[in-house]
Amino acid sequence: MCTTVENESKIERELLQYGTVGFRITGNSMNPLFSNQRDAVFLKKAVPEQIKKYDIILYKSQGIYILHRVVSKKGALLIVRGDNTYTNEYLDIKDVLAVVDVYVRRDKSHSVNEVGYRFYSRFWTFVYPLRKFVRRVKIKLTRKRKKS
Amino acid sequence: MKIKDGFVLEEVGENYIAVAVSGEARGFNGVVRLNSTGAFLWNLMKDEDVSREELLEKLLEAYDVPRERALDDIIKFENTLRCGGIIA
Repeated sequence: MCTTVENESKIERELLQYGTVGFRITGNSMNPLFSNQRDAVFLKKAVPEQIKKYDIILYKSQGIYILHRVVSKKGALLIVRGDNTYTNEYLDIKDVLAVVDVYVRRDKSHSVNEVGYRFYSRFWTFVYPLRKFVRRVKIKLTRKRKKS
Repeated sequence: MKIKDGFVLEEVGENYIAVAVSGEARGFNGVVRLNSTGAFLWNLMKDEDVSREELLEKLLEAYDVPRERALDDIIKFENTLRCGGIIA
């Protein structure tokens, strides 16, 4: 009726056995959507042909689990980026472990099909060049201030 | 019996999964998997402190199961939750 499983290393086993998994967020690379240790996600095992642009996917890079967003899809190649990171990662679609289906933000559950979320994911990806520019300007200003 | 504050239960695909996000539950770093009966009981215990007898009555109202078996299931469920530190 109920099984409890300690997390982390068992994510893949859970996905294999049940096709679903859930865990609390670690890290801030998906800010402002997810915050470290505050929010959580529920994922479904990935079906490669169903993965779309804007999906938040789970994959492994050098043994570490990463939860980032698909910002571009070209055939089997995915370009992936955290909502709070400024570098692209390139990934084969076959390496995607799972896709976020439901997330909990500030103790409230949301489906990825909600209008608000869909708007956010598209808007945030669309304004990436602007965000990147603003960040560069900020860094330059900070450096100048330090010099003077 | 009451589920500690901070757990969130969701139906994902054909499963019910609960994880700990905040409050008292934060010490729990795993996944709780439930079937539909488990999820039914979980929801009864989520917001209020209910007794074993209350759970039994509600379960018998909702499901067509013999009393003995229902009670057995509730006790097993209770033990799992207690052992996982999900109820106090």
